[in-house]
Amino acid sequence: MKHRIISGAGAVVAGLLLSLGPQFLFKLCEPMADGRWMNCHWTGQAEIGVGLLIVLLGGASIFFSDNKVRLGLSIAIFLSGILALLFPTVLIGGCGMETMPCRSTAFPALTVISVLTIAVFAANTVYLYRARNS
Amino acid sequence: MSEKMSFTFQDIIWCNLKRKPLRSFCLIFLVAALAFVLFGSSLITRSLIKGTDGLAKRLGADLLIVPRGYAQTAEGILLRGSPSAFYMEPEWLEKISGVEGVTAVSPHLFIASLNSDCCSVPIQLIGFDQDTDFIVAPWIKTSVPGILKDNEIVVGGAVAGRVGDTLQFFGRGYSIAAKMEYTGSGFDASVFMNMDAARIAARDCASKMGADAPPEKSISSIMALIDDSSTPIGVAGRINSAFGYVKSGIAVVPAQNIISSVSVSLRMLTGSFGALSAVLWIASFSILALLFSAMLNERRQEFGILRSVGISRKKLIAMVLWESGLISCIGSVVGIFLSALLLMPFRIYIREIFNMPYMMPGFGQLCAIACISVLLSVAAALLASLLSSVKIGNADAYRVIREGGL
Amino acid sequence: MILEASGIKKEYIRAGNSFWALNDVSLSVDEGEFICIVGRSGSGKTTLLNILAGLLTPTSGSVYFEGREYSGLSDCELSGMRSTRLGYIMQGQTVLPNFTVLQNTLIPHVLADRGDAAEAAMSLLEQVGLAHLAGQYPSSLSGGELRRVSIARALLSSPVLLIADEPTGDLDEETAGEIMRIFTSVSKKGTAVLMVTHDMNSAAFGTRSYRMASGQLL
Repeated sequence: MKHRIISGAGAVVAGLLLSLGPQFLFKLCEPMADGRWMNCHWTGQAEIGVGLLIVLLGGASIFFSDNKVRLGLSIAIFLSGILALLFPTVLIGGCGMETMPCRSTAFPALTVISVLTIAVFAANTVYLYRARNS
Repeated sequence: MSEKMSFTFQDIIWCNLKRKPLRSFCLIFLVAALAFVLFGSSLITRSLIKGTDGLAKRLGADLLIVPRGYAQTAEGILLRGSPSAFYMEPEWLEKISGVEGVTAVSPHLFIASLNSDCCSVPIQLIGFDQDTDFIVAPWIKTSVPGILKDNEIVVGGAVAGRVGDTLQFFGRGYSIAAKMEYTGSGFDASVFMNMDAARIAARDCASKMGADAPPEKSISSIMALIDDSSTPIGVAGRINSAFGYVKSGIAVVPAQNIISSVSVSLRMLTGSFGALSAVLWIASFSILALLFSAMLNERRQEFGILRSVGISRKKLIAMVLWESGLISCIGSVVGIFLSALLLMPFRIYIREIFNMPYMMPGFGQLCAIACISVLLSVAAALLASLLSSVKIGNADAYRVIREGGL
Repeated sequence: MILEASGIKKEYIRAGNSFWALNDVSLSVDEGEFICIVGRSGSGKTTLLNILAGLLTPTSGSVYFEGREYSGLSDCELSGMRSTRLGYIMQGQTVLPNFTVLQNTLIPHVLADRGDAAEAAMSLLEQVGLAHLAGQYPSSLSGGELRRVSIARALLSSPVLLIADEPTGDLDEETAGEIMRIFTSVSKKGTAVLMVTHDMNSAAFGTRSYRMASGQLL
């Protein structure tokens, strides 16, 4: 029970940070002078989606007590974490210059949160897999 | 879970850790915190040293000559790539090259770009003279291009884009002809183009901003090399006396001055980080020693039972050391992982905080720093537990049992 | 002769005054014997057993176990002896909480680096009626069950001598009877048993009995 709440709540917090962080906490770059958005904006939009997905999966894993369901949810959170890491680094990317806000603060923050999510839920998946028969 | 049938000495150690999760967690946390700081502070120190070394090599000039009042601004361009623009007359090129001791001069033209297509922040454009250049060419990573055409640029290591990509400045497209190595200095965030192209860009810039165009043929700075028999200060003095210190309207900055101002801050930072690491190591060692002493005392009953069923002193000490060794290995790996996870992605932000050249060490050096941090953290934990475990191991078995409350 | 102790003396200093916890005790144990020592608390019983188990050095006197004198043995040799030839069941609850019943039984074997003995341990647990609890942790066991785990642990290496300090001290009559039956069957198979108790009913199971008072064996 304790493990269920801690891991579920962890996923909810990580998901919220991934989805809302770039909007409010560690800001992405402003639009250009002509009003067009740069790459990092679309990464931010994609993170909203994957972040909210992690929130829902984490929330669900608090309510389901069945080990096999939680194992499935844990794998889903782990994979979503990989997706959250790939948006800023490979799939969409950010602005050209390293010194821009998205590259200096927002993307590093997203990287840290997604790597932690991946690491924690990889461990959680192994734990649940080994405990599934007990 | 089905009962595991084979049971070894390693299992005894593992069970002791696993069945006391809070105790193990606290110890792991403490060692992780130590490893986090040790690794983090040495990584930052190494990056600052490497950045400063890079800058010294990168400057490649002995003297920097800029319009009077712009020395600080020029330093900003060199150290941090802070975009700015200023101009001086091109005649200075000839005048400086005529001063005794000066062997080579090369002009630069600085233009601060407006928002370009790639970026919403201004970027430093630098025009350089390919005929006299001794600054840019040595650092071109990919094959050195021939003469740069007017629509071709060389970009610093931190500017996004590959060779062949096109970047837009002031409505004109420039194709990337070469990319420079990453150096940790301000040039990483700069874009280089030939002098003619730079003058066109400067005019574009002025017309976009509604300002006056810079004077024809103007330059922003002169980089000078001197011969072996002269010193930078000596040549700077000669320039000042030849043209008048105030009257000339120029400032001569020995490159060493820029580096030494950075070196002073670097020495202070390195010293502070070193002291922080040492203080933390001693503090962690003391806390760990106290913790182990308290924990091992609490476990006297357990040790007494083990002595009664035949564990020898040596094996008892080995068991305790294996436990603390395992805990400290896990803790230091966790600490270093978290430290690297935080410091590596945030390296640009950290450079902004220190406002100094900052360059991550290569993989080999990174591994070396990690290994040293693991060794120091594990050593702290092992030494801390050694004291108490030897005390308990050497006590008469009967006393261990009696004091354990049996 | 498995064990021979002669002229054992042990002096303690308490609050600045010295006193003799053991005063010239001699005892010999033969194969298959079941010896009981009864006596009041503080009479020196536990001190004697600890000296006989090699955990405590006497002030004077000598102990021979299988022909070797304790004072000539190193800590490693004494420890090796305890994990292979001599089973010692200490007073009180001595099952380690971090390990399952089976693991607890196996510990002396593991410490002596003597390979896999899980099957032998399971058959011993069966003998003491605990096979079904092999995978359980001590926190879920009763006092009698815990005592039987200690007995199984002491017997795993097929010792020639089993030393037990108050093995029935905190147990009800029925459970104590069970333990005594285990000891009797062990001694019939050839392992000598040396037991200290203050319970006269338990002492009745012995083939030879002594009384201990003021550090002397009577």
